[in-house]
Amino acid sequence: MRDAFFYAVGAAMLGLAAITVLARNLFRAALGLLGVLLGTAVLFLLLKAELVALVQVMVYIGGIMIFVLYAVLLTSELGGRMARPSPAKLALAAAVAAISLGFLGRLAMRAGPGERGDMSTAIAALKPLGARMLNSGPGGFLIPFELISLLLLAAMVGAIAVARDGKGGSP
Amino acid sequence: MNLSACLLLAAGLFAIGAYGLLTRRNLIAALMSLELMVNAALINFVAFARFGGPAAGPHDPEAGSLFALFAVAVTAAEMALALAIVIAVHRQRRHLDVRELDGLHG
Repeated sequence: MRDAFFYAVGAAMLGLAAITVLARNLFRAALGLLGVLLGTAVLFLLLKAELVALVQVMVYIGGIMIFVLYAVLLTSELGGRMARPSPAKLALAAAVAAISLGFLGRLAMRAGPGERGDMSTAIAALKPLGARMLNSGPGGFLIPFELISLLLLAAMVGAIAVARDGKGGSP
Repeated sequence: MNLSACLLLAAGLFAIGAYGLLTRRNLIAALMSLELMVNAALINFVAFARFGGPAAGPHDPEAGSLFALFAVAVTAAEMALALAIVIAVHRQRRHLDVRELDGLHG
């Protein structure tokens, strides 16, 4: 049952990903990407990684996709169709995609089934995860945690500085 | 559902994203293809956290989840900057065609 659901979600994600890269309408492509991100969150729930699934929904779907949809709405006419790239470029891109799929697929097959373990429990409970994130000892993630806050602040300030118009008006 | 199946799904998403990144001419569409590839990497992190890697060594699912969380945060910062650049470029040039954006091409 769980396996059938996994394969259904995976097939839906691949189909939506194809829509994302093939749709000629930018808004439709963004909706395809939204579906892929939602499918990924469902996949994380199936793998019992609840926290990652939750963050996926909040940050990707609640944050990044809203950004993307705003950018699409601000910059393009909705009914517009994007230009079709040249056949040579399409062939080159298909070759690169096929090569990477073959290479990664071979590695994936070689990885084997892994240890299945107990699929009914979460990957990591929330409490030890939080303690691990703020642990400065060996195996702790305190330094990346602090660096991430710095990175997000720098990105936010940079984004505001880049996106405002340089006429000296209030942003 | 096992490690190989998850990695295969991620490989498929990565290949589709790579195809999109190379064929799209609109900057936002190229960024969306990039998101697909990042998403494939995230799936790999969580799959290895769930099933353990093929290499011998202690299985550390907490570290796998935390890596995925940090990757999400880095992607959020990246997309915020990228979309700010998109807005700025669109304001200056009125288009988002990556072929025409060669101002740094010496």
